[in-house]
Amino acid sequence: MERVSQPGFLAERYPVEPLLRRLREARVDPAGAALGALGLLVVALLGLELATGALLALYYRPEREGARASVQFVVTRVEYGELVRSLHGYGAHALLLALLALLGGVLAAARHRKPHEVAWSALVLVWFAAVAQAFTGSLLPWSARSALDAAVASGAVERVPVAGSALRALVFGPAGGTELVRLYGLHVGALPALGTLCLLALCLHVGGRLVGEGTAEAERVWPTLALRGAALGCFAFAVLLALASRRPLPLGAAPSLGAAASQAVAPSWFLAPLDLLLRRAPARVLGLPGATVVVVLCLLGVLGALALPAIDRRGGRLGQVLGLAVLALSLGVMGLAILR
Amino acid sequence: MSDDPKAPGSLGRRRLLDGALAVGACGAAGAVAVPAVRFATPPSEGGAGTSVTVRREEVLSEGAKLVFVGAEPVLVVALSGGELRALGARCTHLGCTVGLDRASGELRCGCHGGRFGLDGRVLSGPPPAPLAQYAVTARDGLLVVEGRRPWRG
Ligand code: FES
Repeated sequence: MERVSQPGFLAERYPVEPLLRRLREARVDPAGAALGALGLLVVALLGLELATGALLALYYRPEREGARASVQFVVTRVEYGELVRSLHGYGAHALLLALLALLGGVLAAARHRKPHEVAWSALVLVWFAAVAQAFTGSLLPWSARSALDAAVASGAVERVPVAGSALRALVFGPAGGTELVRLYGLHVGALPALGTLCLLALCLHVGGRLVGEGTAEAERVWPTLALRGAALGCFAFAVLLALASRRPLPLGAAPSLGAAASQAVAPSWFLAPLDLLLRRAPARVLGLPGATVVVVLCLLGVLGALALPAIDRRGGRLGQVLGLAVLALSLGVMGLAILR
Repeated sequence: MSDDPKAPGSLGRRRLLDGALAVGACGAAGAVAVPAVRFATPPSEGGAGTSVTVRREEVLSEGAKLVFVGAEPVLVVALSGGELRALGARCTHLGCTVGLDRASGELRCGCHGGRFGLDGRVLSGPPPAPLAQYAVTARDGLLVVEGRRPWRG
């Protein structure tokens, strides 16, 4: 007797079968497959950050006096505390590296042009949100280094023309040492929300195109690409786990009163290009403080990165070449910072 | 026909409606955004802590002493002749707190390598202006650093 297959409990409530069928038929060209695998790695790392971050938030206290002690408590008293904290920290670095690779890959394959412009801008926003996320995260334990970094960041924000002081007050709060509340709020609220929104825009773009373009030859999305992404994610997780358990992240020295900085401080590697500019810019440029000029140039750089597809309209390659050059230069500076 | 989208009257009306909708949407967004930003901006604080005292011996024995006038860090330093100066310790580059480097007898900012003399002048590095100066007066054997009206140079 012929058996009529009954739809399962889930399938009846979530009728995604047609979508999955399209996905199984979908194929992408090799460049798309490589970018797709990297994208899956980014999503996996985001998942890791979200999970470890949610755990760390159970103990963290966003105040100058309590922050370091609460992190110390996690590291020394809480079971698996050091591992979870180190995974969160190393995971953030890995996420930045994966995003850099993705940005470079997209540019190299010229996938920033029409019809991918919005997706490109979303990816650029994800990158900047991730950098801000890594930076605010590095401030949260309020070590001596965090205190100095916070001072520099608030000084740099204040250099934004016209809106500087208002922006500073908005991000760092009133004077009197309450900046951690706002930084923590950014770290667990606004920045993840921005990143998630942009990622959603990216996923819709990629997903929509996959289903629509499932006819090209080359690689299958399911299971080839999915498996590749999963393998990449597992490999990254294994490396992070090994790093976190063999070399747990140090807590950093406690800030001294006023955190005087007569000793030289090195920046985080992902801020090395900005640090180099701030260090090397002359004290005054055309009558303006050098730092103001650097901050304005950086803002223009952000706008330029977002609007890169507009520069490359009608088959030009200027934006692509410029973008790759800036990326390569930054990578060089970052590499030097890591080696040092 | 009035609902023919190609009819000239209908197109004009549609534009008008679209415009009105856009203006309305912007207004509504602004009505939400402005109070939200105002809420997030902390109210400005009054000039708390307008002066602070420090013992002369403390400054002389260590060469420099960091004190706070309200939230402002101020470094009281002893010049070679025994004269005392109160300098704003906030680096004029991006605001790190500068400290005395005893080996060289200068003030250093470790953030981007700014160097200042004990009189507050910039010696080298990215800081664009000299450190702020505060008035110091002696009262009852103590030094009083006046937080009001610092000056530069
Ligand atoms: S903040 Fe002092 S040199 Fe940059």
